[in-house]
Amino acid sequence: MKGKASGEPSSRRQNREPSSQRERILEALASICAEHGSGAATIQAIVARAGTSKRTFYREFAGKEEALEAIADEFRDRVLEALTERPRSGEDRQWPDSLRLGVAALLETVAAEPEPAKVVFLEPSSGNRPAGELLIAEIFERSAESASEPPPSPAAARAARAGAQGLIVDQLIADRADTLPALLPELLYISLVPYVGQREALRRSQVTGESE
Amino acid sequence: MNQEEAPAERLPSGRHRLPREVVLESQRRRIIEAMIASVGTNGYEGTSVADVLERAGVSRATFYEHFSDKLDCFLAAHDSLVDSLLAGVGQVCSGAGDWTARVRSALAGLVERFAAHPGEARVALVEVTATGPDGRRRYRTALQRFTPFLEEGYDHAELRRELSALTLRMAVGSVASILFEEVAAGRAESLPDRVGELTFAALAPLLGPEAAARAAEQDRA
Repeated sequence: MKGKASGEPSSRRQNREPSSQRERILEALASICAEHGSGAATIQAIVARAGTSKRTFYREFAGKEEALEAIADEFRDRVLEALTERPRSGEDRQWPDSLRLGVAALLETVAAEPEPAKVVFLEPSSGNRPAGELLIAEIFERSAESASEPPPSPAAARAARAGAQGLIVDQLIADRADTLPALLPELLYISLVPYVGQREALRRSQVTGESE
Repeated sequence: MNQEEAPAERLPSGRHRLPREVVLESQRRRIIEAMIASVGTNGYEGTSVADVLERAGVSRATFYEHFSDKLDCFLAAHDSLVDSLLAGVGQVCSGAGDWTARVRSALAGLVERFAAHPGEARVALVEVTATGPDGRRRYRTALQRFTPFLEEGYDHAELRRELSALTLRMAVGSVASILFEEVAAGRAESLPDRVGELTFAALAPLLGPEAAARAAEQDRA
């Protein structure tokens, strides 16, 4: 178990003691998924790890799927929180530099919460679009709101999102979530190259944001 | 490789003069093919060792002579499938002619195979990652095995010296993400419509969007 959060106020959930049964259940589920895959996460296994009961589990969630969705929803909220908290310079408001804020917020959140991140990016969700794909699409959409140029071809937009997703998945599988923030230039390059070309993508991905 | 494409026939049972290695290899192939067929249809979770035994026509004892458990067998099946996919891509990529056209043809060949055998696509991409961390690492290793096919792209990349060491991996990861999404959504059969997108995703990181778009729009040979 993690220790109590020390003096400084922190919005990082990771530094807090799970405050409710609900959070304990979600943390238990995320850690079982990270260690063994969601197939191993039976309700029995989840409540045993969370130190709670099946009854409590079913008071909070209809089933495992709903709990997995809750992890994805909370992770998304955390990314958007990190995004709004980031200081931005004038330049960063404009597409395509605006993408840096979104991608940096995403990478930071993945590094801070690798287990929920694995649920979002590595667990195949049945039927619907995978949570990781949706989250990346949302970050691109928010960043491109300020774009003045016409949107690129659908193939380019898709390659950009798929490139970002591919690298995040690669690093998560290799248990290297903590190194992802250092790969911000690579992530930006692969995300921007379909839109702005290689030279521009290289130039914009090398510029260090002011926010660090 | 042709041997791998043909379905493994059951050898005559009872007394025969086939060497033991031939019998073992035939059993192993049948089990692996049965595993791919079963997981391709019912998913990893929905497949039991009993299903595999029934399809392969082997006994439980025989299964455990070859594999320690269901996961061990599935991972061996995945490896064998990836070997076969790599062979197909390699054959096209190492051919003559314009490099970008070869990349496009190799991707076209890959997705045509997936469209004809959606179960293979499901096994290769989606189900392997559903088995847990071992399967995910296998998936990652499989993707890395495709990166050498794009290495030739550096010869054509104007900005070669400025590109990240991760460029090839990112290009392969980008293609894999698109394939994964399509297959997970049950659209393996219509993957051939995506050849342009896949070609663009593979080439844009190396050659830039204009050259990638030209290659993506090349006429189907």
